[in-house]
Amino acid sequence: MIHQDDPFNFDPEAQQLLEPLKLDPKREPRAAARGKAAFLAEARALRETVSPSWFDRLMGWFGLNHTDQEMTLMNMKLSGLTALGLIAIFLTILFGGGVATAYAARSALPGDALFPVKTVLEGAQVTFTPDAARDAELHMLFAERRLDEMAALIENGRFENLERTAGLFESHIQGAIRSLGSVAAQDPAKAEDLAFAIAAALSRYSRVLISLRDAAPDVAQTAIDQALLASQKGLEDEEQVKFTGVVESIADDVWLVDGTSVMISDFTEIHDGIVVGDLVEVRAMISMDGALTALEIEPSDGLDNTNDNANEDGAVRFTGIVESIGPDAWVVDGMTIGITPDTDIRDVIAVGDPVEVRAIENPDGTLTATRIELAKMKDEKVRFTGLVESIGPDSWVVDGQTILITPETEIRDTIVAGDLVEVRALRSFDGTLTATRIELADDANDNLNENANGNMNENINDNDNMNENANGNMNENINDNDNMNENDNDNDNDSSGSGKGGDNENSSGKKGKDADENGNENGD
Amino acid sequence: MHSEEALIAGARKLDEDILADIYDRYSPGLYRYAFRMLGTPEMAEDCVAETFSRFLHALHRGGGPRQYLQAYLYRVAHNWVTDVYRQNSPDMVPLDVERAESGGHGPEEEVQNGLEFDRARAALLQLTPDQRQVIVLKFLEGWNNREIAKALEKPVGAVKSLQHRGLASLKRILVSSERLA
Repeated sequence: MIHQDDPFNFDPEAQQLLEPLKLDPKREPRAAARGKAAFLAEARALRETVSPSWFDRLMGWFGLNHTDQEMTLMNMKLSGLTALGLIAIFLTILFGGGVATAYAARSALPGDALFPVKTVLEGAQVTFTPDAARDAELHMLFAERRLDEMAALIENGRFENLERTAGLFESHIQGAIRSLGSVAAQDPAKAEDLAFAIAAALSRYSRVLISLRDAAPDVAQTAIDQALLASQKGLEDEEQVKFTGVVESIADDVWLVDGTSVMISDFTEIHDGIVVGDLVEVRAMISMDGALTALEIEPSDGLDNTNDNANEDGAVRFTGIVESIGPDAWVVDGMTIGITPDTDIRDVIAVGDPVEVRAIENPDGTLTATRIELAKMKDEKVRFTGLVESIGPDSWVVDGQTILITPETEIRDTIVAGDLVEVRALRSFDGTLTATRIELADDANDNLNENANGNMNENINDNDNMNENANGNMNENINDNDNMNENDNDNDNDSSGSGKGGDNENSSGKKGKDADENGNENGD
Repeated sequence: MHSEEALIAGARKLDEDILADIYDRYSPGLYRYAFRMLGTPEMAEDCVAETFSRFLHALHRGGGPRQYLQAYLYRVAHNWVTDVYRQNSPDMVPLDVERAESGGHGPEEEVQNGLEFDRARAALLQLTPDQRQVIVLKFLEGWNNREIAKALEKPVGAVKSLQHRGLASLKRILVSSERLA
């Protein structure tokens, strides 16, 4: 394996540093033999089981491998039938759905009087069809309908039934997968096709659900998340790959990156502005036949896909006020910084402006700027509880603080002077508070939670700036938390190059898992 | 002797002879790799066992390596090692010196070797997973850049970059820890 002609193999300093690790452990022969025997035994066992590939996965995720769920939501609904429901079922069987009631029911939304009929009808179709493959297809059809209904509910602002619809959606997904199990027992090849189709549908649902969730207000979120989890669980695949390469060709359904064909599907996220010749990072799923389907394609900065960035080897970054601007050097907060033709000066900057400077330290200790841009003065989010002292059309006074009220301010309750309220506001750089939300304070615990979380976030931000390499792992965890809790770490994530909030994946690609493990909960 | 492709084809069918051949061929290297990363024979055996098991299940599901078997196996092992360190803090089990023979040294030397091993390993563990894998495969296992690129599923340029930055970090870490020692 050692190739003498590879110049990189000879780095004597490296060899010396790593020499202690070159111990050659003697493997205990009996342990080795045991390992081999176990491996071959497992292979034997697998050989004897039917190999349905995809659907085995799906079954596993829905916990249907060992314990079969007999009672679906559908069955439970059937057991609570009204007379109307029973009649509807029989009419459907007799007339194949060509009944006026049935037609009217098809456009009903949950909460409408006719809706229970609709779901019962669908239940009837599924229960009385002997063909398991048809069952699976029907379940997917109904799942899709539930999805349409969720969208319609949100559009019409009717959220009270959203959760139930999501539950029905999930039960249909489960039903489809369970039916798939029956198909596999009879016809494995057909099952594979079906499984593929279901997986494709699930990914489509995921995309729809994600866009629904973005559009829906908070109150709809849990229902959508539930449905999203149901469809994504079926999809998450260990067999993900990530690679970087140059885009060689771009078509609607397939790209060529570094000689590798990558298929584009409905759920592929492609970042804007990528053209042929760009260096990109591709994250893709490997399907059964080895084909790659991209999950995400984004521009790559050519560095490895971790939080490492330029804050190493003498690179500095700081914010300050511009004191003087010269052709070869600027002075920012008392520090002289050399300017070269390579310095990236990103904005129109004048003396007195606050700027963010990135520079490298030269061997003689002087600084040379690589980038200078106007410091982003983001409004700080604040939250506090206090007594309302006065209420005016444009501003209130709460605990002595003047808070501006705008048309966007959400005032959630009827509030009078003397009430204890919780205020959420934005503080601009000059200290002005503009309220985003005011509501009656429930209890004092809110403040406690917020402060504790706030502190933790801030501390960790500071560490980030100083010690990125050492805290690599911590960065990853925290970035994932950021995604869930939308705190103010965005500043640092954005400017740390590859540390985009959503893209801090670990090496095994289990982004979702990390978010669960960290499970950060803010008072929000 | 089978080529990697022939091995993969046989493995897909879960052919017992081919699988035995694969185990004989690759498990020693994987064991050594795992031992250097994890420090005890038990964990190294765990890693090897888990790697091959995942390999089997991937094959069974229709996944698994398409072209490069060894790279695939090392990637699986690397992911497992990384997960282990994500779940436990990097306070590693110190090297079990008796069981890692580095060639007939006296007891004091072996203890010293053990300490240096631990220090080098601790430094290695402060790298990012990708950097670590490049460094280990390059300088400890003797792979060339092309082979490493296959294992990491990255282009060779990225491998070089990872090596460069990994080494720079290692030197910084080991030199500063030497000052403290």
